[in-house]
Amino acid sequence: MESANRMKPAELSPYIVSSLIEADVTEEDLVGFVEAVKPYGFPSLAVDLPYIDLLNRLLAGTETRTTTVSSYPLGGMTTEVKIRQVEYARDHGAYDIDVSMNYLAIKSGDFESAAEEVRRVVAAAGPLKIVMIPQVAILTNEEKARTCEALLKAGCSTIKTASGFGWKTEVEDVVLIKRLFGDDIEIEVSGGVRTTNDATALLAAGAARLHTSKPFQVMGVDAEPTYRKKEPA
Amino acid sequence: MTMQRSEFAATIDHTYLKISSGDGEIRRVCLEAEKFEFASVAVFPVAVPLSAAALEGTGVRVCAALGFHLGTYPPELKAHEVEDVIRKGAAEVDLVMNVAAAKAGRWDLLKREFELFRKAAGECIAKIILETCLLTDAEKTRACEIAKEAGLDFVKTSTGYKKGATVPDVKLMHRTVAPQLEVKASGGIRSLDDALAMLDAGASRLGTSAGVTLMKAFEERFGV
Repeated sequence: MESANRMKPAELSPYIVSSLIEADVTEEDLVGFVEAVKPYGFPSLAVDLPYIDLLNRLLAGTETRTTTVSSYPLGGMTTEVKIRQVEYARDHGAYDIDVSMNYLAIKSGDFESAAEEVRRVVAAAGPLKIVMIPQVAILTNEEKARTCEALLKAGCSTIKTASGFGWKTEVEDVVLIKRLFGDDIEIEVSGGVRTTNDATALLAAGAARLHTSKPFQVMGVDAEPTYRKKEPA
Repeated sequence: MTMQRSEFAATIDHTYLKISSGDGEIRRVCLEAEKFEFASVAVFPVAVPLSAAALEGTGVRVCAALGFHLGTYPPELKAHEVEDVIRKGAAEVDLVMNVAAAKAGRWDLLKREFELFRKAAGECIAKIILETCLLTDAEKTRACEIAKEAGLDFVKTSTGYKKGATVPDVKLMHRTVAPQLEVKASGGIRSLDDALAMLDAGASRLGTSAGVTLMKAFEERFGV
């Protein structure tokens, strides 16, 4: 992407979901995080299940929504547990939830089981928006296509490409899914959204949302604010 | 080293926590565990039914790896998940603890989580994963004490997705929980020397994906 085409921060911010999801995130960390990202007016912030209530309180009166996650980031939990997590998120008033798909079914070529899980998750969601994570980095192009087909068939039309944590999404992944499914599938990208250039290229390829744990870097802020205590001391 | 080959094998939880392959790999790992007579095969919940079927009658147990790798969801949901995997064939459960609660000094939350874990696991072996690389020594000690009070079976060092077990951590944990609880070392155990150092430091169980390599090295060094 030519730097002349690089999007400006104000153009980017409506597409950014800023996440704070790590094992050791405390309430104090979350308060600092929300304070630091508030000025950007991102459409959504992503936190783990136990922080939905606190984030909803911190975001009261703003346009920013609460995103949460299920079977995250590895997708190894059973359907029953994913459903419990979805119900929890629904009951606590999250706006949407990113659910890692059954990688074992997909990698075993069992797309019917993968679809059946999505059907059950969607059925449990109520007003909660379901976003399924196929984890494109571990899939062949054929598996990406068949997974997206299974999703659509099961009543889910929004994906988040990856969970991050080392699983990267390539611009080519977005291009492929866009070419095969057009506007039928809304593509949120996660995994490797780290710079303004990354963001610009992914949006140009057709991404609708970009998830990042590096919002300041993506927004081109030189000095990243410190909002977390570094431990262990 | 006075340990027999079979005793060494029985310390190993043959671990397969990759998400990039299908049923075939799970079956292969189960066959390896049967052949070498490992303590268990450690897999994600989604692979528990297949592993239980593959290991039936072999004496190798199914160990379910729960909460991977962040351990951040509410204790009631964790307890439900423990019951779910046991129903599906797990005999042992390794659960990632709520690290954030420890970082915030919310020991009451940790106590509740561990108690619910014990109750949900019933007679099955309950191992709580501390993710030691994120904790101070004081936090590790406190978590071990709470695990002991809750009557869990093992304290385990790491998920393997971050920095792994260290000898000083295993010693600290063993000192704190023995003899009531055992210690499982996991993460970064790649060589026979790594494995023996962990056992020497007080671990009685090793979580590793290098089990086959370790057995071959053990046989070479000590004879079959």
